[in-house]
Amino acid sequence: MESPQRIKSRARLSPERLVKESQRTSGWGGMLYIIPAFIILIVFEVWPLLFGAWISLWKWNIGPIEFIGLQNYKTMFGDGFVTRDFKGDLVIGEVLNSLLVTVNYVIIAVPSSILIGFVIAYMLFRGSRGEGVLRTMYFLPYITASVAVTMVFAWMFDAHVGVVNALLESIGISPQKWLLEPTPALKLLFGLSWLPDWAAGPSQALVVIIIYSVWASTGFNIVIYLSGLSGISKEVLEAAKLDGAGEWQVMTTIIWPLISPTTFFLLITSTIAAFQVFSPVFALTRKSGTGAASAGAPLDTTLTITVFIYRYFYERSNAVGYAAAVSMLLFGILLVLTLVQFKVGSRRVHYQ
Amino acid sequence: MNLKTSRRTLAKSAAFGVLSTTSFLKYAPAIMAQDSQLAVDYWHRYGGSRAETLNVLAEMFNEIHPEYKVSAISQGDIAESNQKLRAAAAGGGLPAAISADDYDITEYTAAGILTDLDPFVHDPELGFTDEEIAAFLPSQFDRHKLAIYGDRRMAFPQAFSAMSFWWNEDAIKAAGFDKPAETWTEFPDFLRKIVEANPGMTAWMEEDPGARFMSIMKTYGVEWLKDDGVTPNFDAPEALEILTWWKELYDEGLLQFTQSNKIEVFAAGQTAIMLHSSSAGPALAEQVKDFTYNGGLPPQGENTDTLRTETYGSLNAVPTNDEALTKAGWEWVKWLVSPEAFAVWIPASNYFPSRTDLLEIPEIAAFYDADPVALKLLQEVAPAATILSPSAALTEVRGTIVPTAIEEVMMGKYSPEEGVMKMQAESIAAVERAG
Amino acid sequence: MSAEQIRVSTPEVPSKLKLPQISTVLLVLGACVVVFPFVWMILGSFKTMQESSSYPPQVFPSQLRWENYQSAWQAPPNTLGRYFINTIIVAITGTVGQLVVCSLAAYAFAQLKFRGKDALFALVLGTMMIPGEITLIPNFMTIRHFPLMGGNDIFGSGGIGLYDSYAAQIIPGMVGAFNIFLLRQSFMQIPKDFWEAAQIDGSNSFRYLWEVVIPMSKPIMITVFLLGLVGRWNALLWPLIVTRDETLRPVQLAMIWYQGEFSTDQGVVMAASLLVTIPIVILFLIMQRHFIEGIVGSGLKG
Repeated sequence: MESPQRIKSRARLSPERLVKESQRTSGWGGMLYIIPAFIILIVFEVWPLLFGAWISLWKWNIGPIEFIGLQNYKTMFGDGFVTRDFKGDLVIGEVLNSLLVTVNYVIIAVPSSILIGFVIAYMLFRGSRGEGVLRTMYFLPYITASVAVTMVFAWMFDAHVGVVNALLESIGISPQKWLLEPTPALKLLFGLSWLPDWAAGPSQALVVIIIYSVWASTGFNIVIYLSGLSGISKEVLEAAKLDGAGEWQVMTTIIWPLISPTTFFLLITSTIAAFQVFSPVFALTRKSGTGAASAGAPLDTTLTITVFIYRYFYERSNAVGYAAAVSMLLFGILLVLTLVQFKVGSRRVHYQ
Repeated sequence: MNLKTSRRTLAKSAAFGVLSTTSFLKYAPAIMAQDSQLAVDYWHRYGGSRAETLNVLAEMFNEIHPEYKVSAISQGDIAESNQKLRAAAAGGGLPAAISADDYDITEYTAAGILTDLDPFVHDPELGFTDEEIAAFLPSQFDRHKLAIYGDRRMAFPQAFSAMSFWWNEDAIKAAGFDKPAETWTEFPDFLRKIVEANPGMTAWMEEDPGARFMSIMKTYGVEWLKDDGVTPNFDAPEALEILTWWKELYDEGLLQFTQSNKIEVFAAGQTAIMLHSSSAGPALAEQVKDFTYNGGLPPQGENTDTLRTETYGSLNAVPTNDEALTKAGWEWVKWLVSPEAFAVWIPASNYFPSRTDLLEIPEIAAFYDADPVALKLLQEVAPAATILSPSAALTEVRGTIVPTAIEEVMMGKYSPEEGVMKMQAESIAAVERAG
Repeated sequence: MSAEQIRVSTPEVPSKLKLPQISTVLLVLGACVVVFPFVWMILGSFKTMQESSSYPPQVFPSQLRWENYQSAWQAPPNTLGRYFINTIIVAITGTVGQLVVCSLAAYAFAQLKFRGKDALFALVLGTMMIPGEITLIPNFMTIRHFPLMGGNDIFGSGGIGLYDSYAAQIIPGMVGAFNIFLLRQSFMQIPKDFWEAAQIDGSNSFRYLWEVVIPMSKPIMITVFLLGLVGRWNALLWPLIVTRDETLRPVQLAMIWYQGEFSTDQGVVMAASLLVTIPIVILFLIMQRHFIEGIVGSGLKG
């Protein structure tokens, strides 16, 4: 093979440039390259989605029972959103609760891991002793995130034998119930008993899951940010310094806007992934054993939308169709959200 | 031995398989077993040493029945094996036999994927003899021969366990008791005295309040469904009584909810009593180091005539397949309740056998000789054990509705009266939805 | 720091000194927090059951119990090694396959022009939003009824399809929208001039991909390879659903064999988790230089 440089040097001499370009644009040739990927995507992603859409029109258990049209959707937007409790009072339905839990998770976990990722990447970028080793250490959680590692978190945050409680006690803070605590964190910290639970942020149990997620995903963000930062010229920095800007100012007023395309990219991909969070919730909140409570405990305050779908799919009678309808809702939400992010993002993001 | 060699060969062929794409794509399974053997898959949810023991049992069976090749396949925990079975029900490829929980049996029966075992049970050639049938504990053998199934028999257990009461002898002696509370009425004071006499000890920890609440209802003589089998029973005065004393104990710090392993907590001397499976014995024997412990029947309600506790453990069932595979599945689950199979399974699992005529078998006799607590539980607890009322709504009621209401009562969001009202109202809706 | 200071001293020295010092301290502290779960895991892997459930927690095991590792290795049938072989087979073939399929698609999206390109690319990205829970059962059905495989006829019935094979574990995850996106970003960085030069040499578009685009994109290829490998290494549910034979199952499924009915020996589980995690960490350490380059070169900087 020829070296790219050689090819490139010849390219400038090319007299037939436009003609050749047109060959590459002609018709269907490009399609051939995407066929293998599309076959797999259609068979293993698109078809299941369509099948799910079909199931959502049925009362379905292990197999079909009855075609019921849009009934599952009616229930979902009706009782699923607002329902009456045993006393006849209007309360939040299960679907809306799951959406709120998910939104709480997303709006805390995603910005935290992006911001922390940025700050760490920036500090690494500005130079630090042992940068390579530190970078590796920060990235480790991302490559090892699995059920096995989740179990260490469950053990560390155990309400009775956990090392986190022991650490808190050693600095005079009373031990917490962590994964067993359904009370919203804001209420635990500031009282605020007048606030309804749904408006008071994530439960302490969800906070543990958020901590895990931030731990597991920040490493990836750091690497992406380092890549973005490497494209920023040192002259810009030095010029800013000469103008008398402090480190903080440089970071917030110069680097942050310059790096906004990276932030935008991370925001979109992390949001999509975070809306579908499943494994950590499942591994951290489910108890195994006969008749054990299913994932999403305590009091459904960690019942994210995918865990909700799982619960109805596998642990409820005759509810597969309903679970499929909620899946469609999730798919729709992600689609709309991503489009909105693109619309807003492309207007606001500062391109170099 | 044969199995091991063939596995090793498989391993090698698999490693080489990757080198050639074709053989690698075709490297599928020994489902069409060699020769004219019929491959019989048995899906279970055991791990660790129990899964190993099931492999041993499969080898024993295969030696007696050369026409079959049983493979015992671990499908993960309850949730995972349930997912796997649902996938197989939708996509094809149900195994010849399965091990599943009570609730799953109800669900699979409703979905029409299980075979009625009664025709096999009474088949002159393939079935049980009258003596064999008489030897079974009726409460176990008929555990899933139910009116809601149209009186069909959808499953029966090989062995089982039951909710038992475990206590720290040293701790209760220190509090001046020579035996633990026998009724729930005495129970709260019993706990208070224990904690007084053993500073630093928590009296009682529960991992799973919903399941526990419903099994305690049973020991009061109240099932969670009324006799009609569809109306929930949380409006019974007993339900309110239980929730009321739970709330008192919770407020006094005597009852705590935990996600730690109860056995570890008990073995570490942090709790004085534990309501747990009868088969916890070996784990306790291994872990308890510095006190003596004992086990027996859980406390009962004040006015009960019959002693009661809840049955745990999975049952064997035969999914619907073609005739040959169904028959093979039956022969395997039938063999699992033979004396030869029990001789291996009981000492390995510490479950109660579902038959009562096995104490003469040397392996089993030796096992109970060596473990007097196990024998005591076999005599006291096993005969009293029955299942919670079967219903397609059970998982939702036990896993979500009841624990949620309990937690809300303990946190003070609702009074115990409101708590049971909530359980009742939501359970009625759940039963309706599942029906 | 204030502007005044800068004026009096040389502009570079204070700023260069001050930030790195503070940030090094902060970074080291942060790294300690991040690494703590691993440390706890390593310490835990040497503990007895009693030591791991004591409170306040016993930080150090009373002795180094290597036998926990021995039990972890030997508990699953045919030892944990068997599961490693499976994971390696599945992870490597799957990831290489993924690289091929995704590179082809990414190349088309980045460098070629064809009708409907933007719509098709949007469709690829759209698949990122399909919830995984909904795909599980339909995908099992597809595997089971895969035509002409495992005794199936052309209509996909009669046999078991790809059920219980390596292929079943490999094929469904072979295309990742995110990977196509990453590769496309990187391929787009290659100047158009290169293509024209290659044309003069009589190169067709496939040769161009093979001889120019891929060699120039080595770092991003390694990145995608590593990310794919990590995903497969940690896969749990799908392999469980599509296999029956222990000799085909990957490492994450070996975890089944450490669970007692009631109590799990935490030390053995931690030892097993470490054994399962270490290879991927080593692989990362070896490849990390290329990995970082790959991300840097991917054009994600915008």
